Amino acid sequence: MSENIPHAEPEDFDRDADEASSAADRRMAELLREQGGGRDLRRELQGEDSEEASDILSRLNALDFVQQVVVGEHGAVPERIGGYQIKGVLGRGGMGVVYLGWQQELEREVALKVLSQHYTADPTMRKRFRAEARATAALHHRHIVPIYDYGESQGMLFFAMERVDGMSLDKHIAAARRVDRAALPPLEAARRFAGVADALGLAHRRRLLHRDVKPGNILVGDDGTLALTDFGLAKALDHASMQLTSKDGGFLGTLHYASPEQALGGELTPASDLYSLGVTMFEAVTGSLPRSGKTTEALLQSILHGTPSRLRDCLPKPPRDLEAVLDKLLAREPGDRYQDGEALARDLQRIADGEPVHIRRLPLHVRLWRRARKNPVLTGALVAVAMLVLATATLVGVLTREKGRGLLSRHQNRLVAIAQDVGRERGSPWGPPPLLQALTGVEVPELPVGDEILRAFDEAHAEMPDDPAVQAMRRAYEEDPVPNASAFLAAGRGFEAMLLYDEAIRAAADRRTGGSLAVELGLYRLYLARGVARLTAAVARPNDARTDLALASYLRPGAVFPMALLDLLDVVQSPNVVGAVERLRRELSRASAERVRAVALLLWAAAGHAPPMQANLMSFALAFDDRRAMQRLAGDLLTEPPSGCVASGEPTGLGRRFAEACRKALEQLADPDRLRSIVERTSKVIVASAHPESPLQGWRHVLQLLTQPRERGPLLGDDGEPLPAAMQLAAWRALVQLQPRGSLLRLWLVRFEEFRRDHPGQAGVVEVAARMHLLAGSPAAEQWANRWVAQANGDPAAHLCRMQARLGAGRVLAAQDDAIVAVQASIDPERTLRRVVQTLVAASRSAEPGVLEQMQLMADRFREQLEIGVRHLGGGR
Amino acid sequence: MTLTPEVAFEQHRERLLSVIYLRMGPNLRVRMDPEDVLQEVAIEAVNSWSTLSAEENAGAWLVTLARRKVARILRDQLGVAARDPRREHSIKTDLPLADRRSGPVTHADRRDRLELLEQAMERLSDNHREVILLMKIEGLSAREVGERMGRSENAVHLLLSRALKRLAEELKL
Repeated sequence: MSENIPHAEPEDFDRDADEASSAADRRMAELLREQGGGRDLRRELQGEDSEEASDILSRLNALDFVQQVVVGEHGAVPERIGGYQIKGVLGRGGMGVVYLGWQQELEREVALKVLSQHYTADPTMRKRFRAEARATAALHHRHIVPIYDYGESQGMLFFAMERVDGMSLDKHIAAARRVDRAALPPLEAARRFAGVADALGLAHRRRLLHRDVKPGNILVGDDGTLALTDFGLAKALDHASMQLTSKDGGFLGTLHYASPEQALGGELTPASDLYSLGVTMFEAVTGSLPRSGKTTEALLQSILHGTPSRLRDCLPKPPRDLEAVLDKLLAREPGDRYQDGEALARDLQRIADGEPVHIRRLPLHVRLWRRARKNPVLTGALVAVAMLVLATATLVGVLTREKGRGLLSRHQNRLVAIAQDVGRERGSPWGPPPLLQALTGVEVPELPVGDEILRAFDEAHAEMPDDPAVQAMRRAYEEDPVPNASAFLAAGRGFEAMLLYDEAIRAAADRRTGGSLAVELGLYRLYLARGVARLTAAVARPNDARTDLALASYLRPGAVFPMALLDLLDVVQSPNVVGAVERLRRELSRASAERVRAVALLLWAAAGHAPPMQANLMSFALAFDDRRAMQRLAGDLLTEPPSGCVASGEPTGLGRRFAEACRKALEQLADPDRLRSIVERTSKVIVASAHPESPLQGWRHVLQLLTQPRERGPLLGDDGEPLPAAMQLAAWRALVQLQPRGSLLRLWLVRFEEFRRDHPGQAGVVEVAARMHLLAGSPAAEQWANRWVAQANGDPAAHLCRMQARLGAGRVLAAQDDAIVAVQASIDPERTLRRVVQTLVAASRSAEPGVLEQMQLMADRFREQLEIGVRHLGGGR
Repeated sequence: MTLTPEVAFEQHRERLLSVIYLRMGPNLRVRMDPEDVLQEVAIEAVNSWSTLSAEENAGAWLVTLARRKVARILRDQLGVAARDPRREHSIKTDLPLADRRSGPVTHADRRDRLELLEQAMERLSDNHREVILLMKIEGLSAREVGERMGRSENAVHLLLSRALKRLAEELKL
């Protein structure tokens, strides 16, 4: 452009100006010539109360704005810092700039890390910066860049490190990638990284986590030695309550290298650092990342649910041992990884030396199960979050920020602090009130909006009345984003709530007003609420729920409620539930009281042993042992168990309402007109309030059985096609739960047998068969009960079923065995004992004389036990 | 110590990005990410580092590289722009890619500032825009700018003084 401007005669006036130069024009021009533009002048002008002064000040502001664009976030390069002459910029990071410095006295080059001007006024950042210097200074290791000096000069906080002649590993990787190569050959990488692993081991032994291991933080010396640097996020292990939030409350650190627990805002361990080292090594060896995603959300998805690539996916002939090491490093569960850097260093060194290493791969079924857990669902809403959250800086913010940086950064800090408090649900510990109640069925006192937080909002508003972000945040905090949805959710109608939240999340993408914190807060609530909706029985999509909860947790690291829900999902989706329960027990010993209570109530409801009548949590179809472990933990954590519980296996919440309607239909079997009207009404309600694939739809399909008791063949869907087997079974199960009279049930037995023969492998089919045959008084009842007992792994429900079947067949002594086993295995032996006695009484009504006496004897014995306490119940006849 | 192209590039990274961004203009940016152009400039800098006369000129030299690069792209793309107007909106809504290593927040922040600056500059007169660009963004001296724009050094400073007043108005500072 400028090249084309024709030369003209130099003139001493500005030809563009319509008017003559004003005094301010000339004064500013003078300042520009002097290149002073300095701070003192600014102060001087601020004192001057004239139009000219304010005119010039605004020009200086414009100049500052331009200069800030040009020099970036970190200001111009200073000439000297402390005793060091600055010779260049080595790099820029989240917290500041690294300069190349020259120390005159010792005639050596140093790397000077300077805390960004943004943060020098912020006490927490100063503290963090000093912590980094201290952390690094405490570590003497050949593979950790040593620190020489720490100080403050002209308001700049800095420390001096050894200048490593060379580039950081990420530059090597990028350079290699440009020519389609990997930065390091595999065996070379093993040798180089052994040193870094050992360095991490040392840091961990000193109870220090690095928390930001990535190629950018590993320097490659001229001789190829790798050295770890930038303990900028380091934190002492002892108080490693995870707070991986940046100043703006967003994610700090680079997500690519974050372990799943780090991405989720969970607790970090040495294994988390080693995971990040694994990603780094993988990238150095292959040039690509083991997990990738085009957007942050896709990446988050991949970290949380995906399977990482393996070396063989990227290299033609990868060393098997190295592949195994990397597989182990990149395991999703921290417990499956290396636990300390030294062990990793040893294995890497052995690989480099060509010696074999022995690494146990996870058993196949575990790997398959984990693969099955990955969740391919990535809706448009996820993409929306990327847009909303990552474009954090708002234009309003940028402009006001120029005006008074000190005030503004204080103000920003205050808002961030409020956002964090809100995230921790202070003042409203159970999340937006209906949430916990909807799932657990336990009445949660609706706490008033936190006074503390409202006061903080007032203060923030007084501080900067013009900042629309404050009001927007307050609205996001006080107002329920979708009141209708909350009402649905409170009634357990998760499906209708979910549809409303879907819409609200989509709409949020179009609005994006009020600054990032308010947007984040609003989105946090929406994702959390939708996650809850997806965990209700009416929707029952745990993997989708996990995604929502992970996003909520990502938006508000440290927030209690999403964390508690993820705790629950981690348990129920684990291949080893009992182990997961024990892990959770240990973890909760350090958790906040709110989280403990929320988790306990959720576990109680999920265990299904005595769920509260109003619980709407979906069923996770867990084995008895698993449920027992969960129930135990819940019982230990709760000071008092929830009230209003029903017996194991009975419908709760919305399902209970459906069951009542169906029972009414069952009562009207003889009156076709009334039956039809009940069925129509009930069907309509169920269609509207349950996800088409939710097991609750079983209650709708059971109506088919009621209206057409003589029909044969599979149950049909609305389209006339056979329903999926799981849904058919849900209908059969619902029928059993209605407990129709035996003579009635026999009507359906033939059709059920058809279904069972067509789907012999369907999970849970044996249990339903045993109950069907028992209720129908079929001669095959005991045989089916046997099969159930054989696969139920000690579930007392199976033994109780067989007991009844045996009683029906007059085999009282055999029944007594089952009763004893059931009572002993039971979570609540007393309750089970009582049930046994009740069953005996009922059975004895129709018993033959000889059998009757035996039953009475047995009943007496059990009653006696009830009095002296169940613990003394002896086994055997 | 000898200056390496990597260090020099890092030192002037923001300035170069600003030059590229503002010189490209919104229409060209729809088709091409300034960061990618910046990468190409970096590669060029490494390849032709030996042609740099003196270390202290590195900044100006890099700016020149960047300007030439953009000029070349503008020339090459001029025809394409007319042919394919559909793509005008395609990248405007692009998501911040997760693998930009600079960190999402600072990235968005900087982009927003640049965008803000550009919008304000768009509304200035050609001379005002040019004097700010040349002096304060590309870093030319008043003498050099004077030569290019055909003015005395004094006039350049006066022009810049006025341009800043207008800019301040547009930025509402």
